[in-house]
Amino acid sequence: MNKKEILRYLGYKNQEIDENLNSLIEQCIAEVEKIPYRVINKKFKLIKGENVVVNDYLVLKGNDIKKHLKYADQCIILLIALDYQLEKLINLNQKINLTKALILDACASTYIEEIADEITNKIKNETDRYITYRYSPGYGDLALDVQKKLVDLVQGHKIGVTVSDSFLLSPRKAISAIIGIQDVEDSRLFVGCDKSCDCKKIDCLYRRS
Amino acid sequence: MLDKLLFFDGAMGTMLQNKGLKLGQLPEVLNIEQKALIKSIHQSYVDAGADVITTNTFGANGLKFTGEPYSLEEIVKAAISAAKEVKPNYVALDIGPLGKLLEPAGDLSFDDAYQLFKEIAVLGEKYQVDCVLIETMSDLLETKAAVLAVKENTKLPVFVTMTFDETGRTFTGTDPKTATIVLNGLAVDGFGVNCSLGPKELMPIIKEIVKYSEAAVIVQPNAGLPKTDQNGNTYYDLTVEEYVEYMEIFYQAGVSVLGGCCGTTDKYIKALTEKLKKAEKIKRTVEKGTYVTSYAKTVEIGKKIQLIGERLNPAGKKRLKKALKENDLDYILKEAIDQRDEGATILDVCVTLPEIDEVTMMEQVIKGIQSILDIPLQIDSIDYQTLERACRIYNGKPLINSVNGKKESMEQIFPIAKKYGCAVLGLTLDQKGIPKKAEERLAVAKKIIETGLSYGLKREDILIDCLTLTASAQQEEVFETIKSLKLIKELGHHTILGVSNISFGLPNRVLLNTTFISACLAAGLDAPILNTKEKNIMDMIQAFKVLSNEDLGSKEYIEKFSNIVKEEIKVADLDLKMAVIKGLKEEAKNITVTLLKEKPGLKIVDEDLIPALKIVGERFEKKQIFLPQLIQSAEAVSNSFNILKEKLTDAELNFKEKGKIILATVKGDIHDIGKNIVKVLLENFGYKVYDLGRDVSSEKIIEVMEKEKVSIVGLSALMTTTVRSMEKIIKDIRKKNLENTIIVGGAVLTQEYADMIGADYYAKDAQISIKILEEILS
Repeated sequence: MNKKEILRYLGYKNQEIDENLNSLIEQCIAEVEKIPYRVINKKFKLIKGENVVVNDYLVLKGNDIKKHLKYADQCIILLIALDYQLEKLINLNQKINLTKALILDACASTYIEEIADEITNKIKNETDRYITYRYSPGYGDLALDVQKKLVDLVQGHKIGVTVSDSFLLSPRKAISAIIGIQDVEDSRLFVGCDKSCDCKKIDCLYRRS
Repeated sequence: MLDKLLFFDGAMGTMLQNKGLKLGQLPEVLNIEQKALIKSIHQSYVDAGADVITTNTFGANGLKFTGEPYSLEEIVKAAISAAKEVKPNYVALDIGPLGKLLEPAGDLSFDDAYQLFKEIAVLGEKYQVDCVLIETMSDLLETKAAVLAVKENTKLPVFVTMTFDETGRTFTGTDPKTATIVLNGLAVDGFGVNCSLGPKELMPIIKEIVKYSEAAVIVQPNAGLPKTDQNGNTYYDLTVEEYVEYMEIFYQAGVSVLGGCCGTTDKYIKALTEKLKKAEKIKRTVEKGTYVTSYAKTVEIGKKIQLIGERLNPAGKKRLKKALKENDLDYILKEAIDQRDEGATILDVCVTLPEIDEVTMMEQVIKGIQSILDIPLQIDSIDYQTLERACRIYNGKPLINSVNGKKESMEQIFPIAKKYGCAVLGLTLDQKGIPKKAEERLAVAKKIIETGLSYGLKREDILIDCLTLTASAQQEEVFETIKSLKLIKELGHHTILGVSNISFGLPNRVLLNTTFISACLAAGLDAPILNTKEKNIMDMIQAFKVLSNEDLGSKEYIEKFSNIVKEEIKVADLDLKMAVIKGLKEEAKNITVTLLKEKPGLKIVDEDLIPALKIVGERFEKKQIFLPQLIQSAEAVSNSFNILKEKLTDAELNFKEKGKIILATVKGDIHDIGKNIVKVLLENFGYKVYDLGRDVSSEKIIEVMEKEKVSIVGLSALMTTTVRSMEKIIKDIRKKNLENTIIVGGAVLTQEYADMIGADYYAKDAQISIKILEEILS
């Protein structure tokens, strides 16, 4: 796991880290890497009109997703979830070692993004066409409320993923994403939370410098 | 219907997809819109020789069908009639998972889940199905809600299948043995496994179920492991021949209800019935034992010594009483974690206090423990309502503590134990009190056992506690307890005993306790209820296990004692201030203990802790340290405070209290690490924090504001969607005309956002919340 990423989630700005904290981070990485994860990725046709519609079912509203899928005629919907064990581990540590709980949480965020990267790369290598970067509900003006239908569409229950009334995924460390498939190369390299991000929250702790 | 082998149908979804159904469409709608299609699928399974046709109602529930385009009743009615019209031997009402996660991990309450299942089950009976199939379940508690809903509201036989994956467990962590034992208790007619894996991978799971299941065992596998083709479509590639081969192995192992899941079609079922239709049901023996479980762990009493932690019982415990009164769940959960870490394998949970609502508190504590630990619980109460509620919402098979020989007690407790499939502990006392002689206690035990059996309880689920009397008061009866243990043992029942009372009123209690437990274990005691913190007792038990041939080859004993180095508390040249600044939690605790010999607690707070916190806070603001370092220091201070709290009087503690604040993660949001960080810091600085947890409604907040007279509220939200919920809470509080100041924080918030939703303050981070509070209160 990329320790730099973990530290970024923890708001790190080049402070000195002593051996104690360092070994705690190493321990958390080891524990998180033991957590099983499950993946669904399914390919669908896109229909474009006023909104982008996936498989006659999932309506993606908003300008940003439209822009994202501008050249795409198909998409892959990706759903990844770390096992519930992780949630229990973090909950338990919140009662006895809050520092560890926080670091575990950061490790898990890093871990699931890395899994997603790996799968995205695999998809890229296996297709003879081009793919876009991963776009998730909640980015830009794509509202979170698409989660329910998105999870339904790929039968998220088969990997134990459910959606709450406020559209949060369970297990807590789960991500859903839409990857466009197209004949045009997508030069936009989305790395998230950097200067190119249109996010209005400029004082954000996670912003890359 | 279970005298012979019973054949269920195969997949509905696969057949529909073969006929062009797209993912995402609700297949249940087809019962109405394309009834002929559904009927043709049912018909093909009847032709293939299936006895039972499962209705096309997997996703039919009140969450998905709210009237548009159809009501749930319309869907269920149409689905049942489509199945009945092809005239199978039996029609099973299919009930799938609700698609939402139950509390505490999710936001669906047990009672709401129960109501949703009840609605479907009642419709099933109304339109005359022959049985119910609750299938593809992965959450044991949701499964329990479904089974209770069917059994309490209909007379229909119930089959249950759960789905396990490569980890050998369900998604929420349940292993097949635990699931089987819990479903045995709920007295289902068939239990087994479906979906997720192919037959080959299911083998070890099925072996476990066959070993323990008292119900007929049902298997409905996928046609192999799911694979994905180039277009991202799922397919299954096990051939019909391979499928039948595996099913035959399962049949030989004792499975008597057979069918298929994803990827199986009428061809699979036809080959299956041709092969096995005339086969005789295989007789199997069920491995019996005294089991208690959580949702993910089974503990067997009677084979090895089990240790039941006694510390979650307020009797004689000032600190726990305080925690219960103040709803301080954190303290209670820490006690639970500590006992498990010390070696307890079951925890006794008692929350009886005259001034609290026992039913609510018991439910809260059980949920709290089950959200972090998988240790089985012993539910301890004399209040029948509390026991009933606890057994109902408990995720697993609990042990009830206790029933006794009084008629009323047995009439109340045994039906609860029977209905929820619990083990139950019988105390050898009745209306005449505790008998003096062992033989008399045996007679009471026999009465309890006979009565329990007459309620339909299993013999192995009735355990006996023959009661410890205090040596200082009833010295001549101490050995009667030990004698009773032997008599009960001869009766073939397992024994549990609360042992710590033996030494009440005498000095060196640990010595008496250790000696007594040792004698009891030698007499055959299976599970003492004790304080696992007592090192002498725990060491003795470790030694006893060597002598009783339980610790084979003295392995555990050698591991524990061979490398013992006398641990000295290292205080070195560190002072408390430095320990806090460096975030050394253990050291902070140890130094505080030493320091207390030199100066009073309040001085330590003023001269060491507060100055250290100030330095840490400044460093954080100047970005010399980052968040984990800030929290480490805050936790070091908390550790030190915990030592001080034992020494400071309540008056002194109140004197130190700077102000009161409510903290909550808002309704709809479940992210609470941030809120917990703020809590630790605020407590460090002497604020009294009412932590309402996560997913908190405005009603709850207002209730605590009024009851505890708190005017400052800190709200946390992590998602843009839940900021709306924050806004609503602020409006609701303002409407109430209470004195209020509202601080908000969380990753997505900004000052602008905070102003927009009407908050008084925006706390960018935990450290700033301290400054804000100082400003408010000055």
